[in-house]
Amino acid sequence: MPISAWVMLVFMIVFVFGGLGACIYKAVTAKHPVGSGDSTDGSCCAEENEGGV
Amino acid sequence: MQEKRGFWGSRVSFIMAVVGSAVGLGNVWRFPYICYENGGGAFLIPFVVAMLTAGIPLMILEFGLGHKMGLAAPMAFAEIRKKYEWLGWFAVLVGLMVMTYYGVIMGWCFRYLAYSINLQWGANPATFFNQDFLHLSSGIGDLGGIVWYILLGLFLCWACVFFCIIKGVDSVGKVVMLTVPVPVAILVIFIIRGVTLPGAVDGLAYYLTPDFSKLLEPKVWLAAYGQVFFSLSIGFGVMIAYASFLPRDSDITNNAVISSLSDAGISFMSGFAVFSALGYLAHTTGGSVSNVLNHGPGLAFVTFPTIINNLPFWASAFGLLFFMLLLTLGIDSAFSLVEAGVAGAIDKWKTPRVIVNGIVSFAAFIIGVIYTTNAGLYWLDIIDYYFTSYGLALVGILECIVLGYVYGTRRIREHVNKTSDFKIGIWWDICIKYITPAMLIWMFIQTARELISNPYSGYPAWAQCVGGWGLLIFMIVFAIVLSLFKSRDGKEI
Repeated sequence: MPISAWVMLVFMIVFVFGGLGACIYKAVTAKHPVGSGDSTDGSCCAEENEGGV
Repeated sequence: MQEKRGFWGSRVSFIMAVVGSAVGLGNVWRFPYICYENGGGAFLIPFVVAMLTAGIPLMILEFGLGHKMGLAAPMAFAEIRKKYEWLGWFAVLVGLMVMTYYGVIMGWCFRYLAYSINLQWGANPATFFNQDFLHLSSGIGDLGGIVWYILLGLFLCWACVFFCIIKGVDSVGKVVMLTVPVPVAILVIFIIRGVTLPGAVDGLAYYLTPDFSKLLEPKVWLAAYGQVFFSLSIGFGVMIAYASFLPRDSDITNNAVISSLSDAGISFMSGFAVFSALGYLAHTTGGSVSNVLNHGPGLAFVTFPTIINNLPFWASAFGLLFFMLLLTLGIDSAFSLVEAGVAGAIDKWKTPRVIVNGIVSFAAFIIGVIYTTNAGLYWLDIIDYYFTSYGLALVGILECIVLGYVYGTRRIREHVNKTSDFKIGIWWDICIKYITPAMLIWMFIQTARELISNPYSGYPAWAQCVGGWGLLIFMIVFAIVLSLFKSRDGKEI
């Protein structure tokens, strides 16, 4: 494979997997892990969500 | 009994469901081909730009709308203004129409799974697929009879879809924990097997070697925006419906970025599996990769069986794995399209889920019977072309206009920023109000111009009308009719 193909391969790996890694790290280390804590049963907001129905 | 709205069990199950919906057969049989056709590795640059300026912004838009309203697409648009409810219905109807033929392709996969055991497609998979398997007729008007085992496969697919969404997000959240990681694991096996085969490097060179001169061609940029738009399951109302089941404090932006990048990553990985295998096929046949290159059903049901035939060992096992890959990739996209419609109907009429699910699944199964006839492949081709090229693009354009200009991107942006770790700025408004609609309108005009100068695949005018424009117009009228029905105002049935 030519060197330019390797460059594109590295570019894509950095963009996709680097970006994914950063986002997952942010999600895991969030002070308040939104959407995955106390409110997973929807109890915090059931009324609000159903209000519009 | 009034149907109660549920919530996703966890953030992971929501992301898995979104990734499962976005990642489908197109990631395997469309992305690598589009990449090769549009400059190889150079295509990755417009692809990344399209992902950042259209894919992720649109994903945030649909998540934001669904989450803010707490409703699936039809009623979410009705909340903006009653007169836009039809747009939500049109989006889910386009998705359901796509699902009618998606189910048949999955039915083919069920059958091919069985064929893999003894490589029943024989030495000439192309002839086997068209003649022995599909019993393809002479033309679109020659329906012939129903092929019973394809009908059985279609029924199996719809039975799976019915049970996967039987309890809404509760059951979907559990199913995707299997149907998302399994195809990724199979893909990794195919990549490892592929790159260790002779000739694989030649195939990968075709895939990744950049032709930067292509970046000056507008059609390459158009292809990149088209690929991103079609690949992320945007415009079917799926993301709006899924996000409507998120708890109030959910992070919208980060979820959208993770889902979009996962989809891009799986597409990119698929390219390795496909092109390394194509390189091996070219090596064994003594031809070049461009000669064996294929896409769409041809890649899955003709080229891959040929590659499997040529594998030095465990050919049957790889055949089984390949069709298992297609089935697991397809099933979560399939039930997400149905769930978007089912959730929309439940929101409006408060009908018990099992009844709505049954009616929608049965109706779509009946429509799908046409694809099980001897002319099924022709009908599949024409409906796929019109609904993805025009129906989906039309939904995308109208969605950007209604949400960008009528409702206002600011309102959704402020809502999204309330609970998201990453705050979105004015750049997002620009993407939704200008860049995305401009690219979609350009795409729409380009495909329409091509169609006017050259009828699609040479099908007769009556077929283009029945399976194309006529069906699309019928869907718009049907969407308007659905929006005119009165909704139940929360009273128990």
